[in-house]
Amino acid sequence: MDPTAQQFFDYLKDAIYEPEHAKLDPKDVPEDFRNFAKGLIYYVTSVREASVLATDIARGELNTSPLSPGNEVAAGVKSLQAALRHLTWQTQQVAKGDYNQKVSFMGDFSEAMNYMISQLAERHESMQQEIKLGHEQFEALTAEVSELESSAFYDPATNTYNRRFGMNKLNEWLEEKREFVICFIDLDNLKFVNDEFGHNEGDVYILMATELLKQFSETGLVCRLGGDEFMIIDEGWTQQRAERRLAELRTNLLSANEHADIQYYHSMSYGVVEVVSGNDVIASELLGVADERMYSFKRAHKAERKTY
Amino acid sequence: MIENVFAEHATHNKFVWENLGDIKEGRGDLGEEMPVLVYRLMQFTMLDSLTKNYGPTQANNLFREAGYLAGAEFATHILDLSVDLNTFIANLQKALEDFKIGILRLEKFDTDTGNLVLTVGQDLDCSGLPITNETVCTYDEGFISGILESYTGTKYDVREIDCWANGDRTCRFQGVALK
Repeated sequence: MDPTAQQFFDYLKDAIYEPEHAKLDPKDVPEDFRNFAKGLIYYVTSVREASVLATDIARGELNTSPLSPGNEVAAGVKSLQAALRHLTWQTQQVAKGDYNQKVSFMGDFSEAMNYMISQLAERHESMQQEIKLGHEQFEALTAEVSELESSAFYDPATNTYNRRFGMNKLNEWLEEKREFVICFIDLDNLKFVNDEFGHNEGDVYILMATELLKQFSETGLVCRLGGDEFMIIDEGWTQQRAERRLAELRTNLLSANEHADIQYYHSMSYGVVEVVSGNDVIASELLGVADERMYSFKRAHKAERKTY
Repeated sequence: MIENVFAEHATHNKFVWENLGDIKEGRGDLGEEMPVLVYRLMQFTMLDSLTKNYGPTQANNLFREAGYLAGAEFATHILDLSVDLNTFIANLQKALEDFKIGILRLEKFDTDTGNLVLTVGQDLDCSGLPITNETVCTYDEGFISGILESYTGTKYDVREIDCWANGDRTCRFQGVALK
C-alpha cells in the first residue's frame, strides 16, 4: 500500500478501535494531502465527541460540558441532550404537582407525556374532591356525635348535665380516688309553684336557681338529677367551704323574695359530703348521706319558708 | 404643506405598542403572517448596517437593547403577569409557539436565586443559519431578559451559551438574576 494511504488507513483504524491511540499529524503527510488530513482529524474528533456525549446520556449524565464550538456532527445528540434535560425539569415539575406544563413537538412522546400529565391532573383533582367530601362527611359525623353526646349527657331545659352524666362522673372520680365535695341541692316549693302558677312559672323558678348554682365555681359540674334536685361535684373544697358558698348562693336566691310583687317564696336546701381519698365508699351511699343532710337542712329552715 | 392641527404628535421613532397598528385591517388580503425569510432579511440587513456604522460589539448591544424592549412590551401586552411561576412558564411556552417565535423548553430553574437555563428550539432568529461558530441570538437575549424582568421585577443578564450558528442545533440561554 502507498505509505500515505497506509498512514490514513492506520489513523482511521485506530480512531474506530483504539481512539486514544489515534494520531495523525498533517505535517507528516505530503502537502497535497494536508487539508484532507486536517478535515479527517476534525471529523474524527467531532465523531469522538458525539460518541462521548451519547455514552454520557446513555448513563443518565445530562450535564456534560459543551463540546467544541461548531461540532455539527454532534448536533443531533446535543438536541437529544437538550430534550432530555427539559423532560427532566418537566418531570420534576409534575412530581411537585405542577400539571400546567406541556411537552411540544416531540412526536408520540409529547402525546404520551401530555396524556399522562392530564391523567395525573384529573386523578389529583378527583382525589382532592374525595378528600373534600371525606372531610365534609367527617365534620357532619362529628357534629352528629356531638349532638348525640349532648342529648345523652345534657338536660336541655336547664343546659346543665343530666343525671346519667352526673352519676358517671361521680363513679369515675371515686374510682380515680379523687378528693372532692358532693353538694345535693333541692329547690324548695317547686311543687307548690307548679300547682299554683303552672309549669311555665315552675320552669322560670328552676332556671333562676340553676343560673345561681352555675356560679358555685368555674370548675364545678352542675347536674340536674331530676325535677327539683341538683348535684354539684367539684374538687378543691372542704365541706365547710362548700356549705359557706352554697349559703351565699341561697342568700342570693332569697333576695328575690324582697320584691314587692313576689308570688311565692324562693328558697333552696342543701347537704354537702366531702369525699376524702382512701375512703372506700360507693356513689349511692354518698348521695344518701348528702340527701339526709339536705333534708336536715330543709327541716331546720322550715319555719322560714312560707307561701304567698 | 398645510399644518394639520388634528394629527397626533406621535412618532414611529419612539416605540409604543399601539404603533404596531391594526395589522388585520391594514393587510386584509395578505393577512397577518409572513415568511420567516422576510423577518430575517430585515434583521440581518439591519445588523449589517449597524455593524458597519458602530462595529460588531455595539451592533450586538443595540440588538440586545431592542430585544429587551420587545420582550418587555410582549410580556406586558400578551402575557398574564399576575399568575404563579409555573402557570407563567406554561403560558409563555404556549405564547412563543402561538406566535411562532420558537419552542421554549426550561431545563433548570433555581427558586432560591431565580437563575435559569432554557432552550429555544426552531428559533425564529437563527435556526437553519450557516454555521459560523458564533452565538448570534443577541436579540433573543434581550427579549428573554425583558420578559423575565417584567414578570419577576428583577433585572436579568441573559446570555446565549449554545446556538444553532455555533453548530448546536438548539439555542440554550442562561439567565442570571441580578440582585
